[in-house]
Amino acid sequence: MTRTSTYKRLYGKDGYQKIRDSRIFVVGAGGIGCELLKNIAVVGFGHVELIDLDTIDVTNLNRQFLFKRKHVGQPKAVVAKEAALALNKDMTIVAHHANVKDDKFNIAFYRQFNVVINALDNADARKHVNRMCLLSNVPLIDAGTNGLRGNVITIIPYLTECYECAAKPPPKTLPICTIRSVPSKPEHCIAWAKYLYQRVFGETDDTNVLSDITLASLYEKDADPTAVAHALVRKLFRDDVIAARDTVESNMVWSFGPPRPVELGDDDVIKPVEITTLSDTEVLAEEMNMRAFVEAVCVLYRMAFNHTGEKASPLSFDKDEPVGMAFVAAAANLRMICYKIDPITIFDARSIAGSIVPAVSTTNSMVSGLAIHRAATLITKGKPTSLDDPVLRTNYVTFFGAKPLQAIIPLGANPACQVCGRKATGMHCTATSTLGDLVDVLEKKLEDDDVAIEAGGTLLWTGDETAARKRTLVDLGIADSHTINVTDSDDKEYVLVALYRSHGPIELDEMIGYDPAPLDDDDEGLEMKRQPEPGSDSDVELEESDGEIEVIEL
Amino acid sequence: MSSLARTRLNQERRLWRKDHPRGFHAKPKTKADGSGSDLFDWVCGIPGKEGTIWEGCCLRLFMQFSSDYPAKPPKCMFSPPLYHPNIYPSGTVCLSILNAEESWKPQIHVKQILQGIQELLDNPNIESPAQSPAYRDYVHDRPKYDRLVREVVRKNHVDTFDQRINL
Repeated sequence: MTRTSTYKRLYGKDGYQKIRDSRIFVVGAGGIGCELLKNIAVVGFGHVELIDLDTIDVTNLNRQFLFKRKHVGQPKAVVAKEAALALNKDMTIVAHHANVKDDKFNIAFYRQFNVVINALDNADARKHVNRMCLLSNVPLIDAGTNGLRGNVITIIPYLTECYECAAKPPPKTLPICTIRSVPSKPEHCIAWAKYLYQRVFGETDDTNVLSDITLASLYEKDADPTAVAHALVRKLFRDDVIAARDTVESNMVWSFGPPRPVELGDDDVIKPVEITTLSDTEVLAEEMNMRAFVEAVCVLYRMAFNHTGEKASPLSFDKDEPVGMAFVAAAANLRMICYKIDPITIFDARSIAGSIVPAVSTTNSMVSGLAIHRAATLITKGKPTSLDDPVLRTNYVTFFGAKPLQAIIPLGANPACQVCGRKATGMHCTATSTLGDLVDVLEKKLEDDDVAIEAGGTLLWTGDETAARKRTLVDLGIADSHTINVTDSDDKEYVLVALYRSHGPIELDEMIGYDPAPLDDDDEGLEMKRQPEPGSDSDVELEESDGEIEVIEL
Repeated sequence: MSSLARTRLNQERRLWRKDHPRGFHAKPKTKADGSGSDLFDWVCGIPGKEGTIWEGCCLRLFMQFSSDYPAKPPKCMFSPPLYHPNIYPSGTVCLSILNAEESWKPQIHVKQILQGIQELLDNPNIESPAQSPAYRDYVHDRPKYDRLVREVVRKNHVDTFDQRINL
């Protein structure tokens, strides 16, 4: 029995041939991507393209099994390709060490694939691939994990709900009043310390919530870094704390009583301590935090500032850079001490500062198995036409509760969706096409003389914004495969994808997708009606399964 | 870029164009390169209410929307920063309807935000001070407070708003 005979039996001889002839696109070669690629090689798909912009880091090796220590620093996509070919030579793999949002991965690129599989770690790239798949009408399988939970979602454009049909809960942010004045949790102090890092050592940013902190001594010529560090300690953890305690009167509610300033010795001298000697897993005492803070300021100051007191090479915070992390941990801890919050270890501070969620390789492995089975089924059986089709089941994997694996019929496309609920079309144009040409075409096509045209957040054309009429689309920043958003006078939206050609007038392709759902002026219409998907938040109960668990049937 | 934010902002723009309260201004900021205006960055004008010490001024305020809008409120910032107990030294307005953890709701329109801020001008919330000079004067030295506010009004007179809007 050969390796492929299992899959020939599973998908049928003809079906397996379809898998051999298929083309799939895998987005991401990290924890899930490596598992996917291993499965792809074992099943024996014919043509795979793989994209990842990252290089291999030593911290990846515990769960990204295609990579070895000797690969550290090399592009993930390239190494994963070689490792997969070592498992199965009888396939073609194209590795792209690039950003999936790059313009060269346009509609024409997506249209060549039978299926796209997402193995991403962020919502932004997920949204991008979701949109590209909708615009090019290609099925998308999205695999995701979060610790011990995972899911596999199959998106058939304009049939199932897309990645953005349901409103996602916005990422939690902390109110600035809390960060600035009334911290009550380590998280508030870490956020403050990160702002402080940015304010002191980073690029000038007026939107920083601490932008009003004055630090005159920093910018003096030939400043002594140790003196700068001492001045910061006195200001931030003594004077400002006293001012907060005394200015803001009894009407301010302190979580743990009024704040207290740090205690400085009689001679006011804080001895620096070597950062590498600090314990990662023990809570540092007040004095040790001060010493670490002083040392970190000295090191960072020399990196960011030159002799004339000018911030010549601004830094940006990275939780894996030990000195910056020590600065943030020490500053946060000192603030916690002032505000009577229990201080934390550098390890915990790093987890909070980097919003780290532990990755579990078993979960990655399970969703990858499910995702590849979905892809193989889609390829062998063709695009489903009904939501009841078993291939469309959304799977939830979880390691707690009575039902570790669930298969749920997905919701249909949401007509009010801001992404797939709009009509989309290709717009053929040339390098000399002007905004005015496009306006003329649209006004005729939509029979509307009050359209608004916007691209990338810039309003190019509205009833009272007509200055750019004579400028070319190229000049306005619209490159090949860029999208343009058009709103008509009823607030209906259309998406145009720029497709450049050498000559000819502006022409629109046939529109795909729904008729745009009109937005109401009343308050109801402003909110997406759908709730976040089950399983997207630990507080949400998973929905009842209908009992159908495909993988076990096979 | 969130489509929901974009769609909503286009709608806000149309709603405002159709109807807005007298004396107020709000529009996407014109870009320096003349290629249009920035849908996510608005410049607004808030008039002081008649019959209050703020009467006669029109204050410039920037409204910055994020891609999470309308799940998150816009950031509202007076420019230049304003002498007022609830305005941070950076100019940022501290108001419960502008705080996602407090009273912000996606249904709140630009019009209501601006009217809410106008209301705040003459009704500071001393429960949540954001700058100490104006807070201290308001609580301990009302004549000085009133005098400094009148100074603000003089410097930001409604007649000069057209010149100040694009600075």
